[in-house]
Amino acid sequence: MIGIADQRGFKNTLWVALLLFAAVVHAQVPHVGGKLSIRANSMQVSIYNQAGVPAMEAFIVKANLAGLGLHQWVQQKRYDSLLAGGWTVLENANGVFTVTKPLAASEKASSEADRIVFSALPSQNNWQTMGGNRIAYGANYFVNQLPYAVGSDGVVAFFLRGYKNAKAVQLAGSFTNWQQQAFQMTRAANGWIAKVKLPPGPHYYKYLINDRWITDPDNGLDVPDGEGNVNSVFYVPNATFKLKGFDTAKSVYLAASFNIYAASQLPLQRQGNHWQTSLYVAEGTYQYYFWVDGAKVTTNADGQMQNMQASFGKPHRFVLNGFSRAKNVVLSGNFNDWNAAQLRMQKTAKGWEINYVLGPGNYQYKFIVDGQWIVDPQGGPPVGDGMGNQNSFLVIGHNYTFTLAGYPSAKSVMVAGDFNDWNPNISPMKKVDGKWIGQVFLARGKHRYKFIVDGKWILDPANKLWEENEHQSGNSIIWKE
Amino acid sequence: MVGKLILVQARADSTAGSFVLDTGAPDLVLNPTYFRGYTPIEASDENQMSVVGQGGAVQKITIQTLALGSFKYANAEASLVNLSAIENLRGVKILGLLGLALFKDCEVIIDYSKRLIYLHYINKKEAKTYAHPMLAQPDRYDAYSFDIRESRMVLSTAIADKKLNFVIDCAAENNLIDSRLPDRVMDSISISGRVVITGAGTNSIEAFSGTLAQLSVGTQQLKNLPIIVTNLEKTCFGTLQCADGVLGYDFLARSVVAFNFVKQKIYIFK
Repeated sequence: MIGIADQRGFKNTLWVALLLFAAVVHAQVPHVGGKLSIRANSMQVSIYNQAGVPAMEAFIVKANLAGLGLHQWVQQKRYDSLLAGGWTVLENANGVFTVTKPLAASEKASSEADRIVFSALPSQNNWQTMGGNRIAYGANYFVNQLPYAVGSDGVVAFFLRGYKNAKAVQLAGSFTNWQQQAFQMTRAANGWIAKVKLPPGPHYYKYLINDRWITDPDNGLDVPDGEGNVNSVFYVPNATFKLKGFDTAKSVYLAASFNIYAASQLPLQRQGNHWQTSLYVAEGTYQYYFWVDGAKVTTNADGQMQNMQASFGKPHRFVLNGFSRAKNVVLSGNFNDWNAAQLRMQKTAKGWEINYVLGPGNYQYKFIVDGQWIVDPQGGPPVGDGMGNQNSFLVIGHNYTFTLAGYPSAKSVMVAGDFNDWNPNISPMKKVDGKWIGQVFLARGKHRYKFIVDGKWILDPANKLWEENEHQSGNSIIWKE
Repeated sequence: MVGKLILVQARADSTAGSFVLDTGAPDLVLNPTYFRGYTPIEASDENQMSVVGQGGAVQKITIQTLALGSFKYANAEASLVNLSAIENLRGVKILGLLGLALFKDCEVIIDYSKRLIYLHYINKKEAKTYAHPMLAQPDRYDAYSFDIRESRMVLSTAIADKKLNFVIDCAAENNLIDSRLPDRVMDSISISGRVVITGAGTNSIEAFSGTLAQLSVGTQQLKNLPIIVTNLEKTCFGTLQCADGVLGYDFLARSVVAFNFVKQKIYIFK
């Protein structure tokens, strides 16, 4: 009996040992790069170092943890970024690195508006702000079907699913002057179809069913027109981003300066021997790279370098006359984050020049001549940046004129608003026929602004629309169509 | 829709444009940017019973007519609340919010996929019997009873046997749950990532997003609800005891949702 008992005991011990060994092996080689949890009102992030760098990177990107400093901690044992971000580093054990941070409450909300804006949705889909100009890119997002096919000739096949009992369906949009030249749609097997040739860019539209307007139920992108209406938007692409190779990758994303390098916003699809996505990208010059299974990639799989800069639109020619003895002249501005080495100008018979694509907007720039920063001698009056520096100022594609009547004895009148980062020194107004006028570029949508008369900020006396601001002094409002 | 907000075209006196359909607001709210020049009817010191907390004094005005489709409200009282934060976040002109009290005698059906709203005034004779033909087949939807407490729709629920109150708010773009709840409630949520929430003022806060495995409502079980886990300490519900969370777009917008405010029932189509 004893012997049998011993034998059973040995077997049990062996099973326990094997199970423990399996558990240890499992813990040492986890399948995922990390785990998230909440304990006692704190966020907790655990990184499994031994899952390998690709799995860890994929987890960090997928869980939106890039930029916290987790890589530096796990790989270089530096955790100053984590501490600066308010994270507490817990002791790591068995290759599991854990950080924690209390979940902070929002500032005390005081109105219904605060309740509604309490949202994790990004602000104004597909828009971002750079240098006071809104730079648009467009990625179609459909919920029940693929985005409409666009032929090589630019013909878009619009398709409205269902509505079999409708007597007539029309397609009306910005490209038909809305109802005036709306297209009659043709009845198809499962809905209604219309083919329309459209140029690249955003196109706003609705369907008109038996005289009733609807937005496209399959299109996930709605855009307000600023006048109380909401329309669907379809982007005809003008840009295709490709990445060769990586045929076993599970996910590939594009990250570009036009989407603030968001890591998991713009997926590429596998097509033949490469990955690809087509987008509409507004005029301008952009940098980009790819995320492949969570790892940043700037080359093709064969190691060939990609040209990681792309331009769309007509270039603006920057010219600097003279300086024939200079060895190195560079263009720098707020459009490239004042990079002092990126845009080297070419020497010509008269001086120096460079072509650079910029979209409509309000820009500041300077030339750097052998290390010396100078304003453009052929440009308009330089403007102050508020920090004691003078820069050249360039408006490309101005589309709005501010007007202020009166103030005949004012020495200086400026306009400042969200379009120029509220800088009171950038946008001067000129006195013309007894009025002060200033021309700027305004993107579509809402803008807040004020005039500055001899240093004093005032609301626009001719505009009855204004809203309260954090200084309790109000901002004037315009809605640009 | 803009973002996940339901915009409805309406006219307040001579000003027409977009209003947010908002079961989270107690009553009609107007944006002062577009409604200046009205004489305030009172300077109310009462707490504004906002889902987000207790505000200060709220200025109220009376408009002669609020027209919403074929609905017309005469001499409607409205609170003036600066809604510029919503405009600036979503890039759309917002004239006001259409709050709960406007619909207290109504059945409201929202068809998210067709972007349609059906609104029916329920008179006293049909209070017990009225139902839109879309509600004729009970097997097509799940029905839940809610309470109205201080002008809020409140759903009594349970997670991991913990009783919890959720406010139903069709202007909430995410479902929310309070991170201060016990760990056993948190363990019912599969956390998938970090998100940044736009808060009051210019404040942004970090939170976690995930999927709630199961929410019990009476004898029914709601499974796999997308949800944001965040600290709701300063987002209490007026004079109500703080709610444990909010059920918004991700709860309501699966296809079609109907509210009968007379019977205090919500119908979520399968």
